[in-house]
Amino acid sequence: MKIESLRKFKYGANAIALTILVGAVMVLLFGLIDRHDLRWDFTANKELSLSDQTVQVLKNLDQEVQVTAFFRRGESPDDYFIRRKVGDVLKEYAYRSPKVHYEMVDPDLEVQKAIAENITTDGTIVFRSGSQRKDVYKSQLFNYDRFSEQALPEFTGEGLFTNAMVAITGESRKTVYFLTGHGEKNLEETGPNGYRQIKDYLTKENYEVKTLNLLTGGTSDSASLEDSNLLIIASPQHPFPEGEEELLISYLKKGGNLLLLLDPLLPSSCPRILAFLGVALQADLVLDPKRHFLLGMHYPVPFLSEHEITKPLKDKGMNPVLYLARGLTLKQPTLSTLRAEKLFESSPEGWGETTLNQKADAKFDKEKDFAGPVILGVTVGQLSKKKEEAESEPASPELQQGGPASQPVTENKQPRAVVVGDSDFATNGIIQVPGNMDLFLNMVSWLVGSKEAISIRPKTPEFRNISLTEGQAQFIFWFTQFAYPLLFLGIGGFVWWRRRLL
Amino acid sequence: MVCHPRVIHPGTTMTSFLALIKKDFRSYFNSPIGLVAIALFLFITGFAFTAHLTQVNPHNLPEASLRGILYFMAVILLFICPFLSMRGFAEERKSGTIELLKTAPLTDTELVFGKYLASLFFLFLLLLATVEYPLILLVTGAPDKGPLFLSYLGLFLVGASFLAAGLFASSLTRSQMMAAVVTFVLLLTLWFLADVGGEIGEKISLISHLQSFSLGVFDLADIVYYLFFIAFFLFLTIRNLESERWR
Repeated sequence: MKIESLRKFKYGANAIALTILVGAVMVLLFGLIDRHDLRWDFTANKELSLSDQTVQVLKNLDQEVQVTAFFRRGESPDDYFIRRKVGDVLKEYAYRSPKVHYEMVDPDLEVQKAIAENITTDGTIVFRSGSQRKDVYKSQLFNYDRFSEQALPEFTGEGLFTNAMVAITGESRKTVYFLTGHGEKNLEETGPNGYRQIKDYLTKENYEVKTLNLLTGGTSDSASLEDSNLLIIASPQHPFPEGEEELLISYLKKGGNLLLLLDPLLPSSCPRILAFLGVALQADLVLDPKRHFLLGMHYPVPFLSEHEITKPLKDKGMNPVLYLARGLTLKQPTLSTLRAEKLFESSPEGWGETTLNQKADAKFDKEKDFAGPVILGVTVGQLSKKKEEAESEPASPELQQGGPASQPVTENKQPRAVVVGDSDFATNGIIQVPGNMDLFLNMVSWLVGSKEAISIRPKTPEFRNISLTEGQAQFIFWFTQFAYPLLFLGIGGFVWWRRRLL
Repeated sequence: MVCHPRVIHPGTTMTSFLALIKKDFRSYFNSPIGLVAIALFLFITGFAFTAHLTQVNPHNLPEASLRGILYFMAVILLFICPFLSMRGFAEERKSGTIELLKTAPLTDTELVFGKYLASLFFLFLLLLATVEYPLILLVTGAPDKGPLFLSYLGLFLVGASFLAAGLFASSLTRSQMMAAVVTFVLLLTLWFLADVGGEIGEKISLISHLQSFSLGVFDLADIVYYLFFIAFFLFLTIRNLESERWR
């Protein structure tokens, strides 16, 4: 009896050990295969194949990235399709890298999560790694061909997602300073004239936003102009004290970047900086009877020139709106290696009204007013090599006279600047007009030189929808639900009946 | 009691193996249960297919793909497969024919494989009967054939996994109903692990590996998962049969 029990125990122990061993080997082998990306896309257009650049980025990812896509379960076909597409692509990212985790959240069902992430727009995709965050919006995900209704929109999400991951896992955040001390727009003000929304969006775009007062040395944090990637001067109301402009020109000469937003009615606060950049201000208010927002001619909707800043807007058919803008004139920048170019302008029918107190019933007076098209935005950047060789103009008198402007430019670091004859387009009041936020953020992006690090060709996603005729729908209903299953049921009944007879 | 290894004459093995498959496969059609199961499967999935194409569900769009109903079809298999596999060994035990099988010139491995292959053929037939869906999609739209084919491959592997787990449960008991219940509970647990088990749960879960197939992506890890799942439960079934000799 004892020997029998011992034998059973031996066999039992052997069987259990073998089972555990086989299970363990299977788990190990599966884990090994699961770690390698042995996946093949069998869709006709290779829709789910991530680009080599993305795969490389995911391979090198050394930080955890949490992606939360806030999408309502909308009932429109577009909503359904976009949400599904985003989910599919993010799933593919998560498959390719164990560091990427994603979650699709319906903000209506999980309100707390939406509040915690400060979500105000449906279709916001939040990329987070540690304290770094970058948001991508539904409106950015597709390129629509405005000239052909037949053309399918292109999905640009992969480029945006990959760049967002690169941005939040990068070593340093770009710092954006807003100059204060001359009555500039207030970053904390939540009223229609404030810049609070701009500050929030820049923070969401992973920029570090600070204020800077050059005279008192007052900053929102301990930092100096030297540390900034971009300085924004938004509508200074008072002239710059002596020395401050020189300080800023010196900053530009060292390869600094400047976004200068100016308004009409006031004389220029910083004439030397403008001269350095090759921009002159017109003493006018731009009115555009041909292209303006619903509210009136003083809301011009400018024509956008071809530029890195404006291209995404043009692709999406977005038209930014300005409010009470002034005209600009192009001059030769102080440095011969720089070039000022128009970024956007009014329609030819628009003009720069000089009699500012008569704007209600203003008419173009060719004796006094500036004829259209009036330039409203200017970029200042490095001349391309070819242009530089072709245009070997002598340096401006200011450069030859000495002073900060004559200091040599730091090697390989050329300044960049954007000057806009309006600061209101970025205020809380009208920043939500489609195109305004994009315009502002694109300017910042171009100025800090963070043009998308990775360029990924957009793909045309396919949704093979079916539209059935009434007859086809009826046939499918009766055939698949009744006739076809009944056929098998009938055969089954026949078999059963035959076997009963046997 | 002394355990003796079974002596099997070469040559008779293959004949017996094929005879076993044939017998078990036929048993699905000896009674109307096999055809009723097919009809039931077609009726329920046909309802989902019609709804999918006619936009009854507002969150779905009529689409020339099986993606919208693939999970639903897998859920129906979750209910049907335990009833297909419950007979396996439980019925043989109850009717006493298990002794006959054990004296047949077949190893335990062949016995298990024979029964499993028979159920697999039936599963194949069940899925083949749904060929109307891709045909309708081909006639009324332009489906992407890659995801369509992979959807079926995924569905077959899921069903095959259900049957392997069911055969194991059937080898544990002489009650067919008990075998079906055990299978169903086991599969349901493994199914929902994806929702409650975190990342590891998702790796173990039966259903999470179906998604790639529905999208049109062939992932070797998913195939290996299902093959290992099947192999492990067949291995457990063989071990369980073997244990009867020394228990």
